[in-house]
Amino acid sequence: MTETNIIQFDSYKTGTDNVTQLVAQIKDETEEKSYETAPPMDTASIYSNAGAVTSHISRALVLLEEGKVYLSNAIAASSNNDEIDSDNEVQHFYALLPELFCCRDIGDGFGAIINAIYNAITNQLDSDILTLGQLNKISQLVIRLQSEPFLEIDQAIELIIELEDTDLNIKPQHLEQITGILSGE
Amino acid sequence: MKAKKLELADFKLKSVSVEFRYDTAYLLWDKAGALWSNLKPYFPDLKNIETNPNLTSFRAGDNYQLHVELDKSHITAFHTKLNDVIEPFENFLTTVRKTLEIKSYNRLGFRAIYEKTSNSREESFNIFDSVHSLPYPQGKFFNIDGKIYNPELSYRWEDDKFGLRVLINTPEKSVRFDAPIDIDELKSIDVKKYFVTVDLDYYTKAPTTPGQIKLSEWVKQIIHFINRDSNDLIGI
Repeated sequence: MTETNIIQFDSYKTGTDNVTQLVAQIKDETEEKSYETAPPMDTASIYSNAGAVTSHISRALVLLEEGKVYLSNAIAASSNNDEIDSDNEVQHFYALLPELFCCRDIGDGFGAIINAIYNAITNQLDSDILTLGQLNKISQLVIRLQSEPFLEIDQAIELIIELEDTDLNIKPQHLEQITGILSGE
Repeated sequence: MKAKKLELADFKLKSVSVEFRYDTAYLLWDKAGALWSNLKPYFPDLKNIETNPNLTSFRAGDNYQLHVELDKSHITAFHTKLNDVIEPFENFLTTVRKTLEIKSYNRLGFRAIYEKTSNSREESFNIFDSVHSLPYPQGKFFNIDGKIYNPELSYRWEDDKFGLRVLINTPEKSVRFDAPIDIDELKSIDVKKYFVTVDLDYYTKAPTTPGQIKLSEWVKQIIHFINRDSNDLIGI
């Protein structure tokens, strides 16, 4: 920290004897307090070279970005009542999910959310297309994973509950049959 | 005479640290005991060095120093290799973060200090000069017809998200130990040692959240940067 004495002669100009003395403290602009004014970090820049040492986080971020675009297109089409285009974009997004699930060693939260989205779309598309509200919620989850791929499992569960609240079934297909078999029904 | 130009491989890793800073975590006052109990499975030979309300400091064996304060924590490893610290560092950060319920990091820093011993101040200067030649004065100034000793180079390499502070210097260290006369096993020590050190401190400049950070992934990447870029960036 450097101190600089600044002597202000305003009073001198008006003919008075008072001289205001200001001491300006000039703080070094070190990185010490840069976080106070800096915008939050974007996740992609933290792992910009992660592919050189480990593949999954880099690949997952690329796939999530791609998925975000498909979902954005689906939402736009759905908003224009173009169900065919919307469903088409959802299918493209759906095709990314198995590879995203292969990146689940990123974290339990990541794997849980991808799994939930996959099951939700699988179950829904058996009977109907995704609604605008459902598309928006899935898009929010994808954007959240892009920003925070290392979510804890309890945070992921809260998000999955929000997904269920849009009337999506996140349970895997045939689960009830398997549980029935296991319980001897 | 100029020494041959060195590479980082010619230096020995002296210590490596990770530091993370956060908004004041007053939970430290309530959970200090629980924190170190939670860390003990990862560092079985913990020994308390210092404890006061705002700071708890431990040592684990001969290799680790662990330090938790109200607004920052750090772990330092000695006598180690870069790849060997990834898991202990991750365990430390995760445990502190969960116990103190840290919601975001104001700064993350990774620091590696390398050193090379030399036999004299003159040799330290020659090693430093081979790495980074500076415009040294020649002649008599301040009535001193002298030589340059203990040169030091320090700078920051930054953008708006990340920074690297580089420090290359030539410290001298004295070790003196007067052994008790009546203990045959101990011998007195009085040595002066000379070093050239390369200190690399890589840090974030913007806030991050725990969901963004997996320390092991970040540290592996930094190790890759050190191996790839040190020789070009800092002339070593």
